[in-house]
Amino acid sequence: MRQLLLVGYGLLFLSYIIAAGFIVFHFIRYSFNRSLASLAVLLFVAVTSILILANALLFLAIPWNKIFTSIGLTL
Amino acid sequence: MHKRYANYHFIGQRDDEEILLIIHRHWFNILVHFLGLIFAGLVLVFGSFSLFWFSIDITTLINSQLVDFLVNTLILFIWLFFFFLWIDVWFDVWIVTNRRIINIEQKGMFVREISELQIDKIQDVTSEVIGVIPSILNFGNVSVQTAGEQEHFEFYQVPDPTGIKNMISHIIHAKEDNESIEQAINETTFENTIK
Repeated sequence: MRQLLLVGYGLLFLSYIIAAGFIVFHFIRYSFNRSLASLAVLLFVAVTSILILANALLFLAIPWNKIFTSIGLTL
Repeated sequence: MHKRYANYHFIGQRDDEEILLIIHRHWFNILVHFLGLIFAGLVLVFGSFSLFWFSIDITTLINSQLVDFLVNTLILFIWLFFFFLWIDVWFDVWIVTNRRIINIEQKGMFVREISELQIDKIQDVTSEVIGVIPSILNFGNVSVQTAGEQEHFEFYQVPDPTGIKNMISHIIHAKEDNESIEQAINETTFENTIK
């Protein structure tokens, strides 16, 4: 069960990275103003990195054993 | 190079081609696209505020770390979706150069359609403002038609459609009469955000 959760979160984590990658790609490739695009990419990458890192740390901090035990399941 | 767009460049721009105008959708139309996302953000903010205001301890029902993770995931989704939407609406763009009009339509993240009309083939330019809010905020559509052929461009929900129509007409006449395009642009009076 724990491994299943980790695999599921791994896929979610990967989807964050891919989605963020596509956004950065569009900003770099299709923006008309390079300096504005650089600023947007910088802001996006900084905030997204913090959010993704916090998301991973929060996921790893969840006491799954406790949660599953409380609903009558075991990991 | 027209001063305003001196630092701008688009893929496929020719060496002797000057950008005269880059037109995005009007801010109100962009805002309408973001309403769902704004609503989701407000639900999150007011939901958290209500829990605090009514002193509801949600952690007695759900594990607090799980709540933190779910809230963070929701914020991350809203953040990423904001940029997906931004790319979808902001990268819909019409570029007027001294040689052609380029229509770039971004449909989601993976579909991008680019088409163009030569300035000297344009025969008819019309603008329309329909509705109460568009009339107040001055935005609407501009339609560009070429002679003979069935080619047709529509600038959707752009600011100051009459100003854009006038500018394109001035550029066409300037090209026909071999006059300065820079002067044609300066002759155009825009009512709001374009110039």
